[in-house]
Amino acid sequence: MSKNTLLDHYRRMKKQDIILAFRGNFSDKILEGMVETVKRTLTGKGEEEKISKKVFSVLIELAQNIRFYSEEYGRKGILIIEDRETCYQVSAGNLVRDTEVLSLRERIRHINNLGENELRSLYIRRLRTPMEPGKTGGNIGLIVVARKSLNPIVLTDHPAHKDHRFIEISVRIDKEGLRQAQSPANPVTGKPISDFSEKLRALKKKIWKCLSDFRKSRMF
Amino acid sequence: MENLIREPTEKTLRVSFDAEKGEMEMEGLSYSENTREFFEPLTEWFRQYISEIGKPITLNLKLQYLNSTSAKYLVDFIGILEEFYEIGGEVLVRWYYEDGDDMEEMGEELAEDMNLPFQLFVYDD
Repeated sequence: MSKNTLLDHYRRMKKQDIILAFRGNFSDKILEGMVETVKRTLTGKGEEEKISKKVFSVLIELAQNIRFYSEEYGRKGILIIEDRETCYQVSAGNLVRDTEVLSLRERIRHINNLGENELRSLYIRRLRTPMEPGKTGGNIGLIVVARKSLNPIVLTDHPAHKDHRFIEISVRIDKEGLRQAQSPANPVTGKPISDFSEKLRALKKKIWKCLSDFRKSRMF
Repeated sequence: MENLIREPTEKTLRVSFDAEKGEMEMEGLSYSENTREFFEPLTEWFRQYISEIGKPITLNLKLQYLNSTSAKYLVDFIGILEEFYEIGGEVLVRWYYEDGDDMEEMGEELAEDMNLPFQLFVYDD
């Protein structure tokens, strides 16, 4: 069987647990649809609204960066969101001039090495710097991605046709269950306080996991 | 002066600037690619209001999400109010945020960094 049938794509995406994937130009309309998809899918999985918002925030910043920086005709790129066990991974890819890669790598390295307070300061400083004509604030996008995801931004690049490289920027947003340490605890028993909506979310997650495992076991 | 009204969309804000009362409201989400086209007329309106009318301004912000470009424009925009305040104008910014939302953090950061009266309010939707 050929490796590129639609079924192969489908199986691969299902196995990777891809929530959404798009290749093309990230117009406003497309972005709007993607945001709605993320909201609906994550809510359906029992995720807290805060996590859903972080995921679509990162999605928007990375997608809008593609639209602004892509060197491909039509300013196209690719974006994928995967549901991994403990996090959501947003990956964005596009073509750039090979001369751009070094400075991009430096910028990301710098951002990744900053602590929360330093990131905050950098963010405020950039916000307050008057807008230069012709620029649209793409510089701040990566800072926002770092602040929302609370994880390092990973940059990979591959050779593409002459003078160009294909870059991939990917970042993980942890699922709320991991943030146990930050959830409020009963001062007497020390156990986490949970309210009805939290219990409902937990139940939704269990159901989703069962369904998901069942579907995978019946992989066709 | 004419009032300025913008109906909300999925990715642009609801805006209501009342020249008579000096009450300005911005609400919703902002992540359209046409941020400059959206904010420029707002900025113009404010500059005109300040120079022609100059009465007290209350800016009520009930923002759910801003992409980085919108945040930048918003800050530039509040910067105009800051200038007005610094020359003796009466200004108040009220930042409303949903309990547990990221917008709380943004409000706190702006409250700290912007030099004008800035109040934070939480609501439960």
